[in-house]
Amino acid sequence: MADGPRTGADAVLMHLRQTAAVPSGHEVVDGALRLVVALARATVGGADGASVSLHRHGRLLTVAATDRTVYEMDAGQYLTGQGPCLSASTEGRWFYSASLEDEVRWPAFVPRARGLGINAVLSNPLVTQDQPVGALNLYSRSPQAFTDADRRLAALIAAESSTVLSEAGITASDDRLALRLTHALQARQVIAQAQGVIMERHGIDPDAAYHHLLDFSRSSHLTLLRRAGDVVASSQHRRTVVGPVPDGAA
Amino acid sequence: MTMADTELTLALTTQLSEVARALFAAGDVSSTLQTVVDLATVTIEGCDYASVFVEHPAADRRAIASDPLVARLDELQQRIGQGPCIDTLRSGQSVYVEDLAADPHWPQFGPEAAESGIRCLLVLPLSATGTFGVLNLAASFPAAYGATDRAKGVIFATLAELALTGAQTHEEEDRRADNLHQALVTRELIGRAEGILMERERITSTQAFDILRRASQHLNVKLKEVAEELVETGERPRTGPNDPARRGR
Amino acid sequence: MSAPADTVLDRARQNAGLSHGELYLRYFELGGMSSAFQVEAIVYELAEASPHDYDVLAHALNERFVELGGDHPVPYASEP
Repeated sequence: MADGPRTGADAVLMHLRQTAAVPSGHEVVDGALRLVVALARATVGGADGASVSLHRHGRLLTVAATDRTVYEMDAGQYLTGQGPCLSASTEGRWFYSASLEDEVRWPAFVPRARGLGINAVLSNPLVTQDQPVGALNLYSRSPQAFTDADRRLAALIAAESSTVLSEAGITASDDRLALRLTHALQARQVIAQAQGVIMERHGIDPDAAYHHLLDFSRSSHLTLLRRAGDVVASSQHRRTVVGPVPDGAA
Repeated sequence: MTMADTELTLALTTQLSEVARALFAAGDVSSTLQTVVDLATVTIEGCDYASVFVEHPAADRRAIASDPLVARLDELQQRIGQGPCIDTLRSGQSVYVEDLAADPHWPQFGPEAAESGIRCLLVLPLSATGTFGVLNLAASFPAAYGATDRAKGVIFATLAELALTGAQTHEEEDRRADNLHQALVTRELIGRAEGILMERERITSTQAFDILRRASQHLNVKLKEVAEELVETGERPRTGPNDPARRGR
Repeated sequence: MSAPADTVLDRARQNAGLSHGELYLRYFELGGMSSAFQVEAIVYELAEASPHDYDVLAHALNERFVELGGDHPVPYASEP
């Protein structure tokens, strides 16, 4: 029995390896990032807590944190849609609030943070292929906690972490790629169904049915998917002749 | 933190991320282990030889050494059933032996090891998914590792664990990719079967799936087999004893 | 993160001895259109499944149970 079209399959397969369509090695990257937060917490003077957030599945998630409070700090930003971590991870530059008491930015976030005992926040973006994919965040219970040297060190740790993420193949497009892939897989299924419709309608085999689709989509300047969609829709109604009858059909 | 401390940390961070980079790029488990051993002697001052072995219940023990000298050490411990690697494997704790010639813990292993040219050992546990093992950092001189080296060793071992997990994932993913390819082929076969039913009976893909599914239940065969039968013969699958008669092709 | 709540589908998955990835592959092979992430959410009842999606998942589980010598214990959404 003939296979369906194979040209797209290998490309799809390779992409699937790397995306959310198939569970993959997030544990490895998360492990490396736990190391990063531990290092940051231990070496950046003034830091009481550290976390790394990454864009995953279309939203920002905390993938590593040195303690519970820090998780809640991040969660607060995701909930309110505001905060230095969020800003750093979307705008791709650092954000520093030396004293939350005097801070005028992020009015929804600041009270929550202060409620958790945090008084200073430093967020550095994590960037791969020139796109921000997340942030390295440092929190302190004391205001004015981070000196210039501290902030340079934090920026450097963030830069090195970005490199690790690049090596692990994490890019901003992964999420969008996952979405595109889901659509591509759906499209393939519609095309397969259209093949079946044509096989039944004209009494031909799968390969011939595929070429029938291809030929008609070329001559009508429709995309293959669009043509397939039309064919599938036409199966629901009384039969009208849709497109030229292929050679050799019954 | 002093300026000197900061610079040291920066240098350390940069070096470690280079190590991480190399480890993550290694690929399968064997290549990763080889990279661990190669990098250990370069990254950790005082380390003259390195060896690593990992055990997995479902797979063979894999051992890699940077030099026959340290490989022999491993064999020696296996043979006499005594030694720091054995201890570390059992306890999951790292062991630092400053001078094998003078340490009373291993009365048989210690002197023999020292005799063969290794005086100092830093043994670190490795654990990845379902795998346990040991990283062995050996030196010809006693007290070869200072506090910084030992700290580096710990971080190095952590990176090695992560890379090992990654390598295992790689090998799993290769297997998974093969499965996925097969699944894609079957999936499209089922799609074609749905299309046939959709055209023949003026139904939606969901309804077509239901027919295939009921037939699979009724006939107690896999849905993909029902689909294959339909595509090959054109015959409508039976979905039950009271299945209404349908005209086939 | 706290452990997910005990749900019908997740219990079935565990009884069938399938990891989330293995369940997804079987669902995918049957023509399931949702992503692995969405399927996991459905299994944990964190997201609603369309009746069709639910049935594809149920059948993936049932085929596995048959492999193990059982019948089709997971009920379908489209059954009366």
